[in-house]
Amino acid sequence: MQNLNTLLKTLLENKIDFVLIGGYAAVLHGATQVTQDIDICAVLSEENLEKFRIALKDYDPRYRMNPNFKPSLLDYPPPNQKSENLYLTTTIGILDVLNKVHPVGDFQRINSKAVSVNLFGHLCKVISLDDLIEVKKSMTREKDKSILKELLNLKKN
Amino acid sequence: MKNDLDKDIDLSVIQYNLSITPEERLINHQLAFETLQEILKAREELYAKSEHPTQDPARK
Repeated sequence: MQNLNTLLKTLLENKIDFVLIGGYAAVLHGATQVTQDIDICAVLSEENLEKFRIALKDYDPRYRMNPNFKPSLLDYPPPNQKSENLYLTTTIGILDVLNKVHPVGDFQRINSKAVSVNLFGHLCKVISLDDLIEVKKSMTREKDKSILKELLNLKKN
Repeated sequence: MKNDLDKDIDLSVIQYNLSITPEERLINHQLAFETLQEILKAREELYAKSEHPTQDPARK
């Protein structure tokens, strides 16, 4: 059974430096929508990549975007090959790791305004409500427009 | 009368979410997520058995 909270807990327990973004961050801020994946912003250095491998090794982490090429994160990318983003599927849920979030900026920028929330015994950094609103404003899907309305309402409260 | 920002939004659910902790929001979300997974699974089964599989609105 997919469990996004277990996925989030695994990342926190393995002390990966990331900021939660996307729909899950919206839920944390109080939005009512159901999201089917976890999106995070992180620097994809060799060191961080290794932390992701260790954290997810029991959950069969695989790339999911190319139907003809779904290697395991445990084998790919090979050493010294940089990765910009990770779009993964695991046995406990879908995880997207982005190093930049349009139109706000990179990890350093997102991290500088992030808020910390206590979750499952760990501090989790979450994209600020203002930054998340900027991100959703730049998206065109109906679902994002609907979440944007909720976020703007949450800002009023 | 509702303004544009409040239109199509159930403010009571948002108020409820703001009354609980962020961790409780995630726990509630997981329950909703599991329910959604069950619904999607049921839909797949329903339309896989149908003589008219293209009638699945999500596949149009």
